[in-house]
Amino acid sequence: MSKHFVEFKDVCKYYQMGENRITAADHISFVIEKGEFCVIVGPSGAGKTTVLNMLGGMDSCDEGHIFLDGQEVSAYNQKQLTSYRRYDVGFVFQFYNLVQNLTALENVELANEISKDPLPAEQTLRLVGLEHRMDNFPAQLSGGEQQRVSIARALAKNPKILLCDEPTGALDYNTGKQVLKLLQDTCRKTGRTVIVITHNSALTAMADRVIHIRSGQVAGMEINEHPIPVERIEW
Amino acid sequence: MKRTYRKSIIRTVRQSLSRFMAIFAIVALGVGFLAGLLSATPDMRYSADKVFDETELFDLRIVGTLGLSDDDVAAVRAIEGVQDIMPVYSVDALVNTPGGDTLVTRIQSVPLDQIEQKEPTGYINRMEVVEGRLPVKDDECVVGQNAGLYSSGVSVGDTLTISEENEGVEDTFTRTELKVVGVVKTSTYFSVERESASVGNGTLDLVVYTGEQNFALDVWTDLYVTVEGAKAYDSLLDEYADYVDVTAQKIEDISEERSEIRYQQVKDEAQRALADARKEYEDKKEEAEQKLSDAEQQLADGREELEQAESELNSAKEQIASGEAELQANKDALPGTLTSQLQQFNEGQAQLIEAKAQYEAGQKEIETQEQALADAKTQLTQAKQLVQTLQPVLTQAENTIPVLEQRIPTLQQSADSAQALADQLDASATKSEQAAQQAHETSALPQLQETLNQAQAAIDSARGDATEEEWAEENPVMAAPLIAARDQAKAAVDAEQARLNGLDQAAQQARLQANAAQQQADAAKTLVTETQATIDATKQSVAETQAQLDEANRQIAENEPKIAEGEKQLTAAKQKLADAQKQITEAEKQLAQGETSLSLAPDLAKLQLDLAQEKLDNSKEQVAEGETQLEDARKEFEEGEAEYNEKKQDAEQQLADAEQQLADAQKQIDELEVPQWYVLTRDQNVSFASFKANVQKVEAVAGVFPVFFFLVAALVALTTMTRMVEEERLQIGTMKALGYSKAAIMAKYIAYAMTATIAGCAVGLAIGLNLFPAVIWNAYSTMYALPKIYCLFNIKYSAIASGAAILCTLFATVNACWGTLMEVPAALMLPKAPKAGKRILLERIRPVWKRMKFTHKVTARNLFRYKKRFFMTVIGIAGCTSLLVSGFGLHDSISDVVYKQYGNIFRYDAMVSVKHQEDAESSELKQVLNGTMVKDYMLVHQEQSSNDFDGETLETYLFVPQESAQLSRFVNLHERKSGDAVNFSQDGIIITEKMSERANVSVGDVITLTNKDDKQGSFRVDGIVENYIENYVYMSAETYESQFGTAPEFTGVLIQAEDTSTEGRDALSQALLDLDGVSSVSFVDDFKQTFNSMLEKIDVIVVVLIISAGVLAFVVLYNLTNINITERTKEIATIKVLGFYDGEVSAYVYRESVVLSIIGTVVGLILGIFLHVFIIQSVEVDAVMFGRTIKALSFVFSAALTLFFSFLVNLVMHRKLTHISMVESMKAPE
Repeated sequence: MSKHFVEFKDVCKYYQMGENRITAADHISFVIEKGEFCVIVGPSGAGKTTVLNMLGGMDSCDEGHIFLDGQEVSAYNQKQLTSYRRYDVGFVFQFYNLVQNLTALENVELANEISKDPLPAEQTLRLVGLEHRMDNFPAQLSGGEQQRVSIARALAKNPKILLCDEPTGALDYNTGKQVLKLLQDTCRKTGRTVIVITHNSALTAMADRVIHIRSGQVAGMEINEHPIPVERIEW
Repeated sequence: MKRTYRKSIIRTVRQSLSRFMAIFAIVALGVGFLAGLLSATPDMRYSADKVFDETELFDLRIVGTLGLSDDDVAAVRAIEGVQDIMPVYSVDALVNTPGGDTLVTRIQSVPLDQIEQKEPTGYINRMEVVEGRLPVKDDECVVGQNAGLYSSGVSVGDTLTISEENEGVEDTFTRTELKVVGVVKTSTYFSVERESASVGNGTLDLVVYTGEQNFALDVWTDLYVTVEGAKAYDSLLDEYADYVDVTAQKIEDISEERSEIRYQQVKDEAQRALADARKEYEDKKEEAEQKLSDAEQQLADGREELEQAESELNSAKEQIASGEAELQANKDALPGTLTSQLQQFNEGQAQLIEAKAQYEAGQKEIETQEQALADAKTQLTQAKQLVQTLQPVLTQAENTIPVLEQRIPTLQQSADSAQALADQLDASATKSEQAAQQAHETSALPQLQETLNQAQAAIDSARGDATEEEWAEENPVMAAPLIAARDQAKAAVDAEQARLNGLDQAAQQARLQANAAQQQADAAKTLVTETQATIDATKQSVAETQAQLDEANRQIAENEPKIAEGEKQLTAAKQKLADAQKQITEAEKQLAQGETSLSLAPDLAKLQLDLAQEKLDNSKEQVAEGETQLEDARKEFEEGEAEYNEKKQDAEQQLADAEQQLADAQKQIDELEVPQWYVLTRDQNVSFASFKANVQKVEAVAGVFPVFFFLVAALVALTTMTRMVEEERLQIGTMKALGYSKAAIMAKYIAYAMTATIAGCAVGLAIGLNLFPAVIWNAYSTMYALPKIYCLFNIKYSAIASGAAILCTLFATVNACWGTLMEVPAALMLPKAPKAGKRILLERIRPVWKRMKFTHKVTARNLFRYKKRFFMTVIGIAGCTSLLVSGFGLHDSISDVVYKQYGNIFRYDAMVSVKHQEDAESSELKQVLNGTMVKDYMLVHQEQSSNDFDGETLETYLFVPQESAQLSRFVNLHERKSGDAVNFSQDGIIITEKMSERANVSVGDVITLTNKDDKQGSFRVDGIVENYIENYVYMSAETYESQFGTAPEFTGVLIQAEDTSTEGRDALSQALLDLDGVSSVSFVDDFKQTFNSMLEKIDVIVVVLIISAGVLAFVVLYNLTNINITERTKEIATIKVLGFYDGEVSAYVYRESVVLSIIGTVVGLILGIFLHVFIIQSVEVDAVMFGRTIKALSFVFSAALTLFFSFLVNLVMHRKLTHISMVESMKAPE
């Protein structure tokens, strides 16, 4: 049991590549508190995605423990992991991953449909500022709009945490900023825990908590007492 | 192509093996199906034609209505184009098998001297030995194997007998028993459809080949001809027919001339024969008359003989009576005769005894006389001796007497003295006796004795119980005086006794002396007396002797002459006795003989009597026999008389008949038509024609099936290649940027598609070309005794099929690449803009759309978004389902034929054919029909009618019930679709459905029909009824008669059997076949069995269809799902990340293929109905209408199987789905 909202405790993850065993996560330990806007930052190949996968319930760890809201995620079986993803995690992908065949609204509803206590789809879309594009298909939306739909979809599930994998990676600077702002606002307004994974260290300024990952290890973790609004960040 | 580029292609193939396989499989399927089905026809044609060529099957067959002479043969042989010719005798006859069957058999000659030759001439329609060997000897034959299809039951080793029932057996055959030595295959008879025959029930059961020597015909019946160069043509094609027709025409050209010659020949011959016959008739008539008069004479003679015999018999009877009387008399006389004979014999014997006695007496007399003579002589001698003896004795005695007389006084004296002494002694003795007497009387003995006794008693009382000695010892004092007294007494007794005894003895002595003296005195006295007697005697004897002497002397003198005389007499007597002895011996002999004869006499007499009796009995018997004979003879005579009368009548009748026949014959000759030659081609051969028609049907079907496969193949290639190009969009852009030309880039995809296609073609051809022709061939082997099929590599059809496949995929590939290749490299480098989602029609229906789950909405949009996939899948699945429907439907249709025809329409169990209508109405048949085995029956008339409808010949049966009202009990006439009963009307006809289709006739139309006598009539069609086997035209007897002008002959009997089990059928069949008039009995159940065995082979086709359908469904669904999954990997990964469970993920993906499968199945079910109808109509023959409906269950099976295939694909794909990693969701879009 952890008193923290999210806790990684000596988490290790190995991948077998031929004869070599690659250590993707090497005794990673960190905590994130409820309602925090957390940025996990590190260069490519440092193990950010591994952390994300394990935290998002898409992969299991080989050693250590992962806790979320008092539950040990690392002890879940496949089915429990699916339920965990279904009810506890909201995922924002780098490439939005919208279902092309569904309208913006429907994409949100797709997630809604499987959740226990979803937020109304239209409301979430309004929240992300897309009330006028609700009936558009993803192909008719710009990247930023698509990412906002993606965020709306993640939010609509009313998850415990919002996991964002390079949410601005495919977006231009301004759009990226807008998306980040949306995420930050979401965190502030709804008090939802938001974890953003990025290689862009410039974003650390806007986070309540910054976790540095390097070579599969936690290189450092700092609490930002005064996060800067995203508008003021430049990169 | 650059090396690296080639490598890239190979790698692409390896990486996307399932995609490659999809193209490969669908191409293989399509090509295999198309090429296989298309080449089935040429393969069948080739295989059949090859056998026809190998067996030298005839090209033309010439049949002459009056036969063909050797001259005809030579004439045909001379025609240009005729390669070889085989004249044969071919006769249809009823043949009995060892099993007891009578088979309608075609007996055909083969040139025995040619059949074993390496290069025979004049041997067409060659036989291929299947079992046993070819015939060598005259009495051998082989049977055709086609019979095996309808089991003739004849096997090698059997002896076939040409039935006596056949007309003119002797005129046709020189031998009626043929031994089966082999079973052969021929190309003339190989179909289950049998040729018609001219005997029996008109359908051929068996074909027999045997030597020409076994035929007694003087002209050939058929000529088989091969045409030069015809082998080069495929005989199932029109080119062949055209080619052969040239030669056929040439033969036709000479036929008229030849026929005229033949006509004259036959007519002359017939006239001659008639003349001969008339002569024979006259002769016979005369002979018959002669015979009749002879018979009459014989009858008269017979009568006379009979009478004579009767009188003879009577006299014999009289003789017997007299003989009997005589015998009785003899019998009565017999004891008397015997007695008299015995008496005679006894008399003789008595005489003999008497004679013997006389003889013996005589002998005794002689002996007596002799004795007497001897005595006399002895006496004489004795007398003489006596004289001599007596003389001295006499003298002596005379001398003695004086001596004795002197002695007497002395002797008297001594006697007196002896007497005196004796008297003295007697006196003294008396004195002694008296003394003794006195002593006794005076004796004291009694007193003495008393004393003793007293003494003794004293002692005894004293001693008591003790002995005297004991007592004396104990008591001596008392004893001693007692004992002494006793002893003294005793001594006194004894002394007295002794004295008395002495006196007695002296007395006795004296008496004895006195007695002795007396005796002496007596003796002396006697002596005196005696001597005196002796003297007297001697004196007497002297006197006597003197007398005797005197007498003797006198006798001697007297007897001496008498003896002499006696001797003389004795000699004479002896002589007489010897004679008597002789006589006696003779008599004895006679008597012995007499005795013998006498002892035999009774037996002899008896024997004679017995013999006489026996003779008499014999005579009696003979008489009795004679009487019986006479009776018989009389009966015979009467019979003879009756027979004579009958025969006379017969003879007269026969003569009249013969006369009539002669007249008829003359009429026939007069009416004799000029014969005709029929030049027939293979098309008139039932087996060949049927096979040819069926091969054409295969061709019709072959084109339809593969359409699905090709359509699907094209769609599969298109979707697959499109997907591939899309996937490699970036790569294409890069290549373009690197400077590769469009063609070079496209070459990769074309190469990829072509590799799969060509491999598919190769495999498809390899399987299809071999499988499909063989399967179809196998199905047809239910109908034909076919050789093996040669699956050729048919270049034309292979090229067509492969070319079509290549074109399809090529087009699809180019189409898929084109759009992409047209884009500029820069655009290609960017990910392709995702295809915009589109609103679909369904969304407009708000209430429905609103209620749909989003996952369902995705499916709905996807379905309409990828149209190619939609059509590919729907067409593929529909093809699969429709193939299944038509496969099962085919099975249903064929099974319908039997069950509907014989279960629903024809409601009789058997049909009996009789020879003539009278047979059908005969009492014997009626007896069976009204018996317990038959439930119901009806008389019908059936005849085959060949009619042209729009240039097409249609064989139909005219079916005329004797009583129209009965028909509905035996044939259920109804409309197929509505099931409404069709009423049988009196003036119209009812036709069957197939006929109405073929002839294009509907209710109300008037059609023209031709009957077997070539008469034509017009009929109004009143109704069209459901029917499957054969075509029938039902009409009433009145209609028939009014239109054809003749009354129908009711020679068929439809029977509803009481017992339809095998035993019941056999019993009924036997009972019917035993009747003379019945020519055949056929049971409905037998047809059913034949059809059922056919159905089994059809099932092979059904199995092939199911497998093909399965492969089709699998390929299509696998491809679809595969594309769906690969294309939407990221989407699937995303929804997994979103938290969809595995089941939800699968459902999300599969819903699409399931919906498509269902749509495809529904379409397929509808399509299947049409496909089924098409196939059925294509493969149907004129004589059979297959069922038109598919059973509901077949639809269910088809749909279930399709969905099962779909399920199977999903099962396979599920693995792939679960293996999609969620990490995919993080990847950049391609």
